[in-house]
Amino acid sequence: MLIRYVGPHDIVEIGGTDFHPDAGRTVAQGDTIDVADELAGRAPGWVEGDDGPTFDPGAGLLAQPSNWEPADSRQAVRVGEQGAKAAPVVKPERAVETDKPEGQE
Amino acid sequence: MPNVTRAQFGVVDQTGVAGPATTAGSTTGATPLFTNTVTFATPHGAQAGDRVTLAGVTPSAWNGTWVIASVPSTTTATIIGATSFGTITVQGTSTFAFLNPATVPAPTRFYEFRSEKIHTLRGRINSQGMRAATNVQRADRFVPTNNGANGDVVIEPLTKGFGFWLKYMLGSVATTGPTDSAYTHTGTIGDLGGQYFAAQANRALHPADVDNPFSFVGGKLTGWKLENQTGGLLLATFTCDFVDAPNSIVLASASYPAAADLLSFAGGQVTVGGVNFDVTNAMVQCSNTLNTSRQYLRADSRKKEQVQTNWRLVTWSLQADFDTMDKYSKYVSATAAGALATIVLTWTGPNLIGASSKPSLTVTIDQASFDDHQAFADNPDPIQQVITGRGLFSSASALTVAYVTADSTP
Repeated sequence: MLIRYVGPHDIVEIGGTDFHPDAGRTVAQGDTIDVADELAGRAPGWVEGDDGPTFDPGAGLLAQPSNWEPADSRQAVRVGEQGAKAAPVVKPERAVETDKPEGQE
Repeated sequence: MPNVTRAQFGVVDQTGVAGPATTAGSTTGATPLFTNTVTFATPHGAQAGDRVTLAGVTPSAWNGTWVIASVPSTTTATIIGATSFGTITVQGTSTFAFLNPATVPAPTRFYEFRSEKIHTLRGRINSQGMRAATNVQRADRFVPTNNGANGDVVIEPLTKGFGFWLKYMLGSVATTGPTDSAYTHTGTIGDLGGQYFAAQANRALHPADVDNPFSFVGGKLTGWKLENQTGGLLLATFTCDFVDAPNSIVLASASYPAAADLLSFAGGQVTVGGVNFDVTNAMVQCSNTLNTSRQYLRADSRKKEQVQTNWRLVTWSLQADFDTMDKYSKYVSATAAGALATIVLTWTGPNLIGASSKPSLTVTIDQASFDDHQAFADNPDPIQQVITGRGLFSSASALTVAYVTADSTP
């Protein structure tokens, strides 16, 4: 599956504790890399259920939307979903700026 | 298989939970205190003391980040302030900075680490009731409580990836650049409130050799330390405290910054009052003085957000040859001004980021007080001086940590 690295580093190396064949490969910021589907995983999002929506944290690299995104928009559809409408993705936003200069109330 | 092949430690920001849209807002009260009550379309899940950011609202006085004073109902929250926000005429969006265990994100930053000793804390409230024929506390007479988790994580800072920690070390971080492909992320002492991170450590089972992730949420740094001695690497110790330790989060898929270098004494330099000072040991640490045991009778034994309860304590230590008397002179100064100097500790990485910029980590103690000086002749070796003190507040941040890196965001 083709995914794009969108994280903060200029270049990253894929890790992995289970000696995955993709471990050790590098990709630059903004570039795409073709990795095994199970490593790519799926994005987090809310899933509608009988008792209301529940949060699915996602899996694999795509569980980190601030680092990885599907390189092919067609693959933005959540695993297991039918149709072209992607589930909403919860992106960890940056911390709110509540800081005040030291010494001020 | 040794643990080293599966060891993994990752963290992620845990703030900025998207909340429901506003549906109404009104104000009561009079100068000097107004109570501004906002209503949301659906339950927001926050509690008093949490923070909410409102945006897109008219009147614009509502827009900003606020500490929630009370939660009258599941869909309302009050904000107490010195101004009247007025009646909302155009609805907006909300973002909450609170701990929602249901939406814990996967770690996104991964670190090579020397150790992690994050200890899950479970309390036992024990009965002291007596009754006949009982010599030992009865097995059904204690109550388990969830006291979160805490412990130290030690990493070797690299020329990439360290910026994540600045916000949690100091409270505020600002980014400039890129200049010559280098970004500068500068941490200064600021509000630590409403900022959480989650952490995950893989503690593989042995001899089964299977991944076994431990996750911790609602994290803050109660303290941290940077230290370096001659012949060694720069080490960072993060003393963490977490609200909870859920055990149902799968191991994250790690990625590490590539082409990153270690920071060591080889690239280290210390100045005191703008003058180079050749040291053999350097250490700076900060206690964020957080109250980490804010438990209440609220049908949930988990503690609330760890909040600052005292002045932060910045301390430092330098060891060097006893080459001059100038440091001793500061220690024995009869005036406060004479016992102060700016101390700057810099670690520079070996490889260029751009054409001329090198990565670096610079700690500036703007007003370092020289509180102790020891130089003793207790063996035949050349005498060493050990100077210790605090970082005090004047007009600038008492402590600034600037990280020059290729990373575009902290």
